Amino acid sequence: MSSSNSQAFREIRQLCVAVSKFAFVENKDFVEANSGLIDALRALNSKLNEFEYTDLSPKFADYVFVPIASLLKQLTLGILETEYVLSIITHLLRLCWFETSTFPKDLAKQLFPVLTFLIGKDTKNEALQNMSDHYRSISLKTLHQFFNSLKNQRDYCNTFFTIENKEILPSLGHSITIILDILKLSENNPESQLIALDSLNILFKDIIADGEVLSFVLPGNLSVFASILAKPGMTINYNIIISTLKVMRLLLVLVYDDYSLKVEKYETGSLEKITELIDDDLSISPEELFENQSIVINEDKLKERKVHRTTNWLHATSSQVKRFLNSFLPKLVKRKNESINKELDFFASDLLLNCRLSLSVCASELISVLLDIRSSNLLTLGIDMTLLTKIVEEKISKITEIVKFEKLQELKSLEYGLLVLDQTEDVTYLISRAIDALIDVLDDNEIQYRMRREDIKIVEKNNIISLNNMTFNNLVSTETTLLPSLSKEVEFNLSAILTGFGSMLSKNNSLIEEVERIFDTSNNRGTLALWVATNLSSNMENCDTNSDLNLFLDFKDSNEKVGSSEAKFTILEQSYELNRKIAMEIENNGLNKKTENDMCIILNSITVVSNSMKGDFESELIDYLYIVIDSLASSSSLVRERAQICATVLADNLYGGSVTDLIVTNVDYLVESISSRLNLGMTQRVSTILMVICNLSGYKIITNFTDVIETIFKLLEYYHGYSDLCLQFFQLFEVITLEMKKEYLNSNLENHKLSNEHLVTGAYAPWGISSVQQILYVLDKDTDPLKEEEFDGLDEPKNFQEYFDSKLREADSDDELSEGEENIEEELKDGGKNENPEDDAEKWISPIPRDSYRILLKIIGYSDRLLTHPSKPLKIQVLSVIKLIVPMLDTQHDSLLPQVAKIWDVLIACVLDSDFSITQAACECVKVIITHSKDFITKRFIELWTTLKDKSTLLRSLYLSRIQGSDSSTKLNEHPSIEVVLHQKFPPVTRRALISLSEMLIEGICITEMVLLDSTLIEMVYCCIQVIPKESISSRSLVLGDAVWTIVNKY
Amino acid sequence: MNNVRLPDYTLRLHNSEITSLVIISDFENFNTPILLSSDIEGKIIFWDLITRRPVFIHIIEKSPHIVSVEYITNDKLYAVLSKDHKFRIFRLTENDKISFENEYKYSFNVAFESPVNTLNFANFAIQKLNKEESKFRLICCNTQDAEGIDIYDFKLDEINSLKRIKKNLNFYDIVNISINDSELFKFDKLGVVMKFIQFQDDIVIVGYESGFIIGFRIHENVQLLSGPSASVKTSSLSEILSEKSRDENTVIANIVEIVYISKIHYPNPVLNMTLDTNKTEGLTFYSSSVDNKIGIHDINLKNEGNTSFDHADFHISANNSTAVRKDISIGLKNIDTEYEKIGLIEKSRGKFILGTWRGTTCILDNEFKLTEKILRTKSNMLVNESAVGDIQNTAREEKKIYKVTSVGYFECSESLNGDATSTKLINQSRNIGSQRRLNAFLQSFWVFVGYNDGCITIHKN
Repeated sequence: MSSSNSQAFREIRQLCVAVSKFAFVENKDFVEANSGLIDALRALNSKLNEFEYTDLSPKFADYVFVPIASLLKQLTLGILETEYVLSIITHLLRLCWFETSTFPKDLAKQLFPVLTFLIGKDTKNEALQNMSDHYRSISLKTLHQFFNSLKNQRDYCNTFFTIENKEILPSLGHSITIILDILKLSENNPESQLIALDSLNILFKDIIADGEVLSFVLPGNLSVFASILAKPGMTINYNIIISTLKVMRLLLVLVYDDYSLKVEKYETGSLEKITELIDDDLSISPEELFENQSIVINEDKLKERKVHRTTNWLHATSSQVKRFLNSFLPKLVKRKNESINKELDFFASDLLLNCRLSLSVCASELISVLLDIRSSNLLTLGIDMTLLTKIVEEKISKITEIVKFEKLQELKSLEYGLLVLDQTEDVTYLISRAIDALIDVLDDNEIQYRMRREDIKIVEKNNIISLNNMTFNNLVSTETTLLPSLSKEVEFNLSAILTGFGSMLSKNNSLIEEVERIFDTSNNRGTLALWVATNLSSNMENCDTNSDLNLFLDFKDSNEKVGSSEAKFTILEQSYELNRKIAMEIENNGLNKKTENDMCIILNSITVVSNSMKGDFESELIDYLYIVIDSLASSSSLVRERAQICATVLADNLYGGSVTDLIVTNVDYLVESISSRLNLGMTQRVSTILMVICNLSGYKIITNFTDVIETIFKLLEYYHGYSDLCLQFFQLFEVITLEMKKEYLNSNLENHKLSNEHLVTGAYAPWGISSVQQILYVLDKDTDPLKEEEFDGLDEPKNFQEYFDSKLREADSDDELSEGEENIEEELKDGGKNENPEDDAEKWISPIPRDSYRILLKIIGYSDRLLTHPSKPLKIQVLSVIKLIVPMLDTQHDSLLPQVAKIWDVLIACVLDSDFSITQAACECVKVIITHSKDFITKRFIELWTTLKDKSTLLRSLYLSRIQGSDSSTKLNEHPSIEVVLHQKFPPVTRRALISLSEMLIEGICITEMVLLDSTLIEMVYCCIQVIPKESISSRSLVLGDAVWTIVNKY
Repeated sequence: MNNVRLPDYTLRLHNSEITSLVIISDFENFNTPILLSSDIEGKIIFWDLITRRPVFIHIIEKSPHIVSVEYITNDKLYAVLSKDHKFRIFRLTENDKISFENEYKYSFNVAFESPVNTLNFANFAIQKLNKEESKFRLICCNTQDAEGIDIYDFKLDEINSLKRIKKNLNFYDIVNISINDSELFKFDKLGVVMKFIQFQDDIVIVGYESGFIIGFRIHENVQLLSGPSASVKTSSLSEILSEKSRDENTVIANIVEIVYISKIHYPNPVLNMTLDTNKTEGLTFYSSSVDNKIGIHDINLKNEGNTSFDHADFHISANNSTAVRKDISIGLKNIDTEYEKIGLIEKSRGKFILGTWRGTTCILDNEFKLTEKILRTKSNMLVNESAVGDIQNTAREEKKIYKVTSVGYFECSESLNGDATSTKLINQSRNIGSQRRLNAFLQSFWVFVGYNDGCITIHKN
């Protein structure tokens, strides 16, 4: 006896003696709930609990066990006592009978029934139900320890429970029920559950390990396991689930192992057999039944005839297993727990591998699980592909439901299924079906989504394209969805799955056919089909989103590349067509949620395709750039955002990130698109984009597009009633004019004014010279870099030959005859006109070329017409354009004057407008005209004063001077002092208008002062000093100074 | 039907009137269909019709008014007549690398130039002489007299090689003899040359201001036999001719043989002519004038390879330079159309393209039925930058309609269309996108119209 043994013995002796006192009394004298006994048991138990050795000798066990055994003989052992007894036995099992060959078989044989009896007195364990958790826990530990110890008894443990060993079997059954019951009852005690499961595990795996025996306990086990696994909610500890699955797998594999069962499959099952059995089990379909019946256990091959696991048994139980599996597998998959999934993977794989035939009815459930958890084992198990196909097909048929209820898991399984199938067969037709179903459901979704929402027009105005802040980073993470009827997550997943489909299709070289098929069959669901197709073909470059798929996809064939490129072009072309339709619709009905979304999808497709084509997309800009740039100016922020992403991608791939370069380099394509839109009468955003182009590329480029400007003029004639459109066009004209000015008049406008040959009439500045440079310029006229030749050089004949030619050309006159030939006709008919325009015609001295000058004239022409338009913003815009153009026209002064004559009256009408903002703009405009027309308007200006006094509402807010009292009808009765007159306050709008009016008058006075009547002059100045500081007026000229002095001092 | 077609595309790089449009289907050199356009400011642009962008722009020194450009097939040569009185042949060369100054990979080098008459608006005809690689023959207006025709031979890159074969050819006399109808025709001259067209290698057709159209070819070093005097009949002029040539029986000379005479447009000037390139045998061409007639001309070529001319069969001019078969038939075939003043006419395999002085471009089918009409109008706002009154200065005033100044067309040649290998050739070194574009382009018939504002519109037909 080792020292530890003797030590333990010493420590335990007294305690055992104490217990013995109670244990050895007669049955009739045994008192239940004897506190002395309980104390003694407790003391013994806690002492034993302190021991950790596992090598205490059997003698020690015997010593302790003797009083316990006699205690067991007592008929009425209290619960508490039982607990201690069990616990003490557990300790003994642990301490003494644990090691190999320490636990005698006989003892085990005796002990095992005792234990089961002790724990659950009745075989149905009814008492156990009412026991405390503690009791159950102790019972469980005892059994657990028993199996653990038994497991170590290598010499007999595997034969301990055998069919032949009949007397022990009821106890075995009982013990399993106990464990299962405890398992069931310990919902809130995961620890116990784990111990229970471990006990079963040890029992099944290490002790029994015989399918035949286990087949008896199988149903009970399964139903308990299933009930645990199928508990609603996700509250069950995953460790328990894993353990449960482990035990269940163990059990099923042991019971249904193909090899040991000698299962065989009859290829031709007879129909009669089926009909025989069809009544037995209605829960499985005839198909499955048929499948099932062809599986037969070859009982002859079994070495020893076993009664239980027959073919009939197999048929009956396997479908039960199927039902159990069905009850919990889908639920477990949904938990998306990695550890659970891992166990599920083992579970399903193991069963599929070992029970392929015997549990073939369950194959589809098991495969489904593997699909759901995307198990890579699917590829190696060599499973039945037709079955997998069937599963996939079934999933496809449920796509509507999958999408509507956002069953992403299902969707992923579907994809995975296809992927696995793809390894061995052509899945194109399945993908086609899936895509069709998908488009159907998405379309349906979309329609319902639209129906639930009002059709709101998006009217947000946006006339500016912002090219700043367009950096890739801040745009990539767009939060908006392309399919508003879906959640972001679903959309993302659908898109990833479609990408996966696309990879498979392209591997099978059928991507292009599929894309074309989608477009062909998707009438009226254009953008949806586009979205699907785009996702399909976005594979090559974006594989990283599906990295696990890459394992299987390996692109070697260059044909695939071609096919996928072809598909991209098909997608692009489809985008183009759709855009054309949708743009038309937007043009007609404005942007609504539907068309906004359509545009987003189109832009997305362009972005995706262009990004995958990189540099190759350059040749496609011819058609697609406009769609993008146009959308940059969209009234929808969503569309703008998409367009910005697209523009940035294009710029990044093609122009080193510069959106400006993207536009400037492709101005020709943009203008072409604008031109064709205008030709179709589509005007929206056209002017905005033209403005951007003009701003970015300058006037020189604009000269190439004069035909487009001409088209805009034509449109102005058609749409003059639409003030918004006219306003936009005039905004464009302003930009064009400014660019023209920048091009031709930038630095030396002053000089050109001087070089004009008109008479300068400023009274005290005879030549308008105000700087030394100008004097030098005049003196240096011979070397004027802007000599006439520069403008007229081409028209000037250099020799007779050219003179003759030009004469012929010029003769081409007043009908629409064509150049050249018509001259001859002229000559033939009337000998030709002897006109010599080069001599008669005024010299072209403006730095602005004739063609551009004509554009300005046209703008003035249309301004003239549109000033009668009722729209106020339009009028103000037109006036500001006139103001801008007049100085430019003045570079060819003689040509300015007819225009002034033409528009004077309508401008004056605007000056008289009751809306002071219009008056203000008109006055500014007239002032500029006065400055540039000089004495040409003298008479008109003087008349203007009379008109103003007569009709101007604005002027009425001022005091008129008294001096003309006798002939002025607007004389006020009471006239305030000059101080009051000089310090008036006006509302801001009136004030601004008055300042403009006064500036205009002063400008006019400067021009006309020599011919102006003194009285009129005083009248005008009297008005002006009420608005403008008198000092600033008197500084303008001597005459004005005099007038101001007169007023201040004499009135 | 009468709806005016809007352009499918517009090419905008010329800022002045377009003077000619030439299609160049030289896929080996350009790898894309090319449209060559010229304007009155000396600018020549080679457009890639797929990208609709220039692949090359050349501006002739001092920006002269270009009258006409001819593409000399397969030689990368471009003959240009411009109003700086120059006839030039440019050779297009592909630069090894794109230099900094030159953004295009091509350059134009003058391979030959010569001063010529550009008094009127006639173009020129150029023939490649088979004997020598770089030898060409130029047929154009006489240096002083726009009624006469000069014929020159020259070799490329040899300025001094220019040799005048015929000087101031004037067909009036001999045509007068052939027509022989002083009652009907009271013309006393043919008028200035309006248009040349070149057919096959040797035949040149000339359209005159008087409406006459004459086709001729040049026979080099042929025998000129004087026939028996008895065979010479009637017309005093021909008697004189016969008498003069009786002295020497045989002369070796270069003779211009008139092979065709038509007077259908008389007295209206011939405005334009076009060959029917679809004909495989014989020669058919069409002519237009200020009237509503389109002349249809068929030439049956007799005495191919004739080496001798005698007075029995031919009228031969006094200076032994011109001959015309006595039995030559006078072309009279024509069709009346709804259109007048047809300044431009082109014939493709299945269509006629007419450009009228009214600014319309009409596309007709082979039965002269209108299929499409193209017209570009301006806005109603007609402005006049002149300060001087409107009445005198109408020349300066804008017109409401853009003038059509040139037309052209593209149709895929049958060899290109049918032959898969040639399409493959074209598609080499193109990415799929431009392949698709090219193939789509080749499927259609395209009409190009040049206008006086420098726009070239493209119409898919």
